[in-house]
Amino acid sequence: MFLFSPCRGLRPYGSRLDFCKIGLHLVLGLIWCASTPVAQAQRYPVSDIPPNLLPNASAVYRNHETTFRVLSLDEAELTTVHAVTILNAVGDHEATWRDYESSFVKVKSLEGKLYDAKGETLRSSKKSDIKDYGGFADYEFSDVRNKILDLSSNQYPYTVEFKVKKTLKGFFSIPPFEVQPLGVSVERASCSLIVPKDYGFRWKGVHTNVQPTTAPDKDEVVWTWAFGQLAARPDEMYTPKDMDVGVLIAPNQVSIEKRVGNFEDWNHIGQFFYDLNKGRTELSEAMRTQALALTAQATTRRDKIEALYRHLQQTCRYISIQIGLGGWQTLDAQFVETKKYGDCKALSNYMKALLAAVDIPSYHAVIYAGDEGAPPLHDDVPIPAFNHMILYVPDEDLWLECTSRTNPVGHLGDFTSNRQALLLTPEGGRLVRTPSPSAQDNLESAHITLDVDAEGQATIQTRFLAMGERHDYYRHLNTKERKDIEKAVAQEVGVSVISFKKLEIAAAPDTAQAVLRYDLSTGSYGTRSGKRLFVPLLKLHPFRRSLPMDDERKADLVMRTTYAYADTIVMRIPLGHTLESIPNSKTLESEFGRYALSFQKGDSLLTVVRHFSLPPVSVPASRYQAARQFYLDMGKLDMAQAVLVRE
Amino acid sequence: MPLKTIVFSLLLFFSNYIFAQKNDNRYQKWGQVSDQDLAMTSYALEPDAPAVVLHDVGTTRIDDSGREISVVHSRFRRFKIFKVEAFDQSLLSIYLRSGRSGELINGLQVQHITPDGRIEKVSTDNIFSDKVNEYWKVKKLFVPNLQAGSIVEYRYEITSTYVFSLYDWFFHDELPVRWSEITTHVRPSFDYRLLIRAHKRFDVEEKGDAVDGSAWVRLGMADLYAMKKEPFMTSLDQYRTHVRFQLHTLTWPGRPAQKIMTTWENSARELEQRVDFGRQYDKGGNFNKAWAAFEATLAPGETPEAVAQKALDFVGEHVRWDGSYRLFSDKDLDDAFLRKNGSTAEINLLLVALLQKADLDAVPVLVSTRNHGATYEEYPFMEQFNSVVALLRHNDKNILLDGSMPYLPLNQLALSHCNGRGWIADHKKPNWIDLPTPELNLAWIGDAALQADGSAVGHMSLSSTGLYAADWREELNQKSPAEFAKKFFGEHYPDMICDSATVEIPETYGKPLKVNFRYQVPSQNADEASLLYVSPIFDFFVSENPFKSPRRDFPVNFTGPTRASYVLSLALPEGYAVEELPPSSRSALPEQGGNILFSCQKQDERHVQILLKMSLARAEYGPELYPTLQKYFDLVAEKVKFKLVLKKV
Repeated sequence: MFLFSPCRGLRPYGSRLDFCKIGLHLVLGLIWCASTPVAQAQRYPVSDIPPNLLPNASAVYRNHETTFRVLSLDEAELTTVHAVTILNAVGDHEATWRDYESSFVKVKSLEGKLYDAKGETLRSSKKSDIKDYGGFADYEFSDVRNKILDLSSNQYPYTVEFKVKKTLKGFFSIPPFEVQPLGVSVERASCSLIVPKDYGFRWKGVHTNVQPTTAPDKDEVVWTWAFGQLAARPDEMYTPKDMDVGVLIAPNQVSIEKRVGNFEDWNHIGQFFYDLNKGRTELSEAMRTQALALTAQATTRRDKIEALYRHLQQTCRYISIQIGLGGWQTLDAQFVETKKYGDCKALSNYMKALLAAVDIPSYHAVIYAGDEGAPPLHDDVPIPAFNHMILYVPDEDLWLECTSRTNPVGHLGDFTSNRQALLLTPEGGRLVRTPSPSAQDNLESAHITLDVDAEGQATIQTRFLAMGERHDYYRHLNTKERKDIEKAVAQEVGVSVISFKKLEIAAAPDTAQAVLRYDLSTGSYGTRSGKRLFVPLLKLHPFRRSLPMDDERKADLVMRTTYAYADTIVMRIPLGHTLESIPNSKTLESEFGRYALSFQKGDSLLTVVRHFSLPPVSVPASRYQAARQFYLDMGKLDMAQAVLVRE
Repeated sequence: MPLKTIVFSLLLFFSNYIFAQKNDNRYQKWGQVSDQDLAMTSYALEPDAPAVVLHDVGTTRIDDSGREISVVHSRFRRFKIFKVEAFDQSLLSIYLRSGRSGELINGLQVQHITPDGRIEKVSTDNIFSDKVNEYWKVKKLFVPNLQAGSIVEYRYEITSTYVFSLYDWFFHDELPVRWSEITTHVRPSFDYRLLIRAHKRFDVEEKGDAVDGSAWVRLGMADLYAMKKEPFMTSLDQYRTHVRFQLHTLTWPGRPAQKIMTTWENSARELEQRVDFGRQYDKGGNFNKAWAAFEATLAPGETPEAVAQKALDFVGEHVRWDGSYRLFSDKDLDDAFLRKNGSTAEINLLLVALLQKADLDAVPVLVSTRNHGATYEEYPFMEQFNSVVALLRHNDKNILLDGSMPYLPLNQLALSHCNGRGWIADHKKPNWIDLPTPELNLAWIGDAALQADGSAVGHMSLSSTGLYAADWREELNQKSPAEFAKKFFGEHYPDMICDSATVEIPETYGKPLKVNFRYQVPSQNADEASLLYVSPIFDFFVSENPFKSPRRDFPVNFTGPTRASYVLSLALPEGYAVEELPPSSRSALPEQGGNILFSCQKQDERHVQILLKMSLARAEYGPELYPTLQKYFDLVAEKVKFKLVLKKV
């Protein structure tokens, strides 16, 4: 639900990067699209569901018929009949149809019915039941409207049936036929593509070997992929990005607002977007002069880039205005020059213009942004599934995220790192991988001095270094007000903080590093229990990864996050106490990482050194248990505590 | 900054002649910025604020010159940016109501005063109109060319035909505010009541009569600190200084005065006559299909409580809450019943309808949700409410019902409805009624057999009541009892196994919901040793202190009193004996605010019993009690983490 407060014009501080609309109709329109209406009224008694479709399922697709009919290069119709039985509350979201409209897509009709378990009709939707939402965020204006029809009920199981008809006028891609997500079984599904006889396209089944049947008509060919009796696959954690069963379709040629594009391969697709965005880097004479002045002191090319990137960050901000083709085409550089705002495309383009003013070539790059990585791109069915634009400087092999006001030059962060981007060059498109940081690039290193008193209260002095993807949070935090920083750091420290004697964050201006220093006193840190005092040693910088127990893991295990810790904790042994017990030093090593913990006992000091490094993981399901065990073992070592006894 | 909210209401009779002192130097003119403001690089009272609202000035007047009476609200706001982080503050959105009593915006002007004092008018191509949903429209202002040191000012007029309440004015903002004021001009024919919620006295309080016969009141406040939400608090609006004007009497020339705000009795009578309220649940209401289905579940001779429970179950099963809070129903009750979903009004009026039809004394109770704020009990106006629950009266007993959340027991309301007092919409007895505060009662009772390697196996019974039990039941709809136990109980032990789980659903109101299961915890000790350090409290209400920050601005709100207890009978492993038992302890918060009880005692040579109880008697603790509360939770966390020391014998 949206809750708006009419009296407030302001929104909270600290917005982050946001998706642009590029590729939106892949992102938003992920509920497949459409098909020929079913002739006779259907009911879907739950008793008809074959029992083998029930395990692992929260919903069963009873009947899914979708037809994408290409009328001409830039016109198409999408019709869908989608009936789904919701078995329990986990499947409730399947009872809501989420669609959208834009300049290019119109929802001609959207209706739904609700049936009870026996198949009796309980409700037919009315037009007024369709919720229409827009005006998404305060920093965004677009022509996209959400159309939402919610038919969920509290009586399980129940069935909903949606009938949807959409028209497309201009499209870059054909929405993939999505047949089966995780946690859902499919009784029957049929996906049809109707194309003119001379229409060229490629297709590819994802997690399926189903072959289409073709039925040539007079002027058209009907391709149909039929599916039946697909048992649900469990909805597991940390799976690869493309787990849904479906069919991808890539047209050879597209047309939008009279622009025809050859989409046969990435090179041509890139060429199309290059042409769409070229010639928009004209700056005013004054701005060109300013760009030269800004870089006058710079001796190297990289220094020049840095000076201009700083200028961009300090003067411009992210505001997204995307109407019609503006979802794909950048605004002119002069727009940003005068207004000092723009979306990812406009800001990247403005940066490109600034660089061009000092003779540094750069390319727009379209990418799928998101901190959980991107779905794979296919050479054989090239589909431009992108939602963001960044800039690439080939001569320095440097990537610029132009919507961030704080990133150091060349730093992408987990929003866009380690995935393929399509460079838009005058010679066409080229898929290039963005940098993939190693564990050591994403290092967190703490040096902690821990002084615990006899009651378990502590004073703690810490120097904490964070690098790469791990540093973004601190750089951002540092832009906030002191008291907000205090609250956030107290939360980080994980102990009740009584007072901060010192607290500062220093973010390096030109590298992806931040150092947090604090000196604080805590409430309870150690636990007094009779004559003993228990002091956790690694609590201030804990290891947090764990995998749920799962004896029947089905999907590959994929975890893209990679990082390393290198910590030294020096604990002063409180007066009148002796150390009764500390754990033994230990090392763990496997394909999932390396962990080393050692203790050194001095007269009045205990020094703990811990190093670990976690590489990205991509292993078959059979290795799941081993990965889980490794993290469990690490977690146990990480619970290390000193036991002190009062003399 | 300690904050106390005092609610006081002023009756203003617009008859005193007090001349305004309009020469207040805090009032600044459009486009005229003082040199000091231009040169300002930080706001003295909050030096690290990224921006400050220099002034925010509103004026509201009634326009009865045209064919239709309208309310005209104009606003002039100016803020200054100090740091680039505050650029986001220039993403200004003005939200307008659409629909029946929709609002129109006129004369919107925005300008940017650059750090060197140039005025740049913001042209209309930076202003976008958008439709949010069926209730709201928005104007988005994207001010161009902002820099650190920029000043932005904007003004506009909003016109509405809704005269019953005027625009609410909030003085506090997420930014510090140097000056905020609202002036309201009222025609003699409109008599408004001014309702004030403020944390201190106004710096300007003036009123007077103008030449044209209208009266005005001006309220202004200086130096308001920035307000940001903290965890464990209700709505921020609750704490912002705020005024509202509510129509009391309407007098047309030549006609008798029409009392709008009359008596609670009359208000109830009016509600009972409304098509979208009283007419829904009275004899003529359209709920026959729902009744037919409900009647079939009834047996002769059932007690009113039993019927009420059935009605609650029936509505919970058949009508899913659509997520909206409403005072009036948008559709007929049978329509909601057939569609299988509805707003709080539709759901709870249906409860009233079914109970009345079953010859019980049921009435609606109007409430203001926690986000909607506190009520004004002295003033009978309906805008202070935004939702409905149901009340069954039987032999001097009151039973509240809320069907918006499934599995709620009788006398328990969804959390958002638990807000102070509700008002009974019954013209015969239009009283206020205390709404229940959701009590949190959690209990862990179990045993554990400890093994020599530090692992343990045992049985546990988790129980909860009321709102939390309802929460559990919703979760148990999505998870098996074993999965629930694993998630709830095994949260801190990734390798804990929970199985043989069963759920005991209480048959009668007030009894706890129980989840019983068997669990195994592998050893948490990495090494074998002659001394065993055991943590026998596997789970509790909190395992670490939720209040880590040394600072707190607002009261801490726990939604209701809290009680948690953990009792475990621990069997020691063969060959081990207790080396040291921790001392028992008892601590209390001041003024019976709560306590902690801990003991760890030998039952016999082989068994130790562990007991931990905590209670928080109040729903809310003021910021002055925050350090005490922080210490309290430190103590709880310490007890949860306590170690039992065993040695090999």
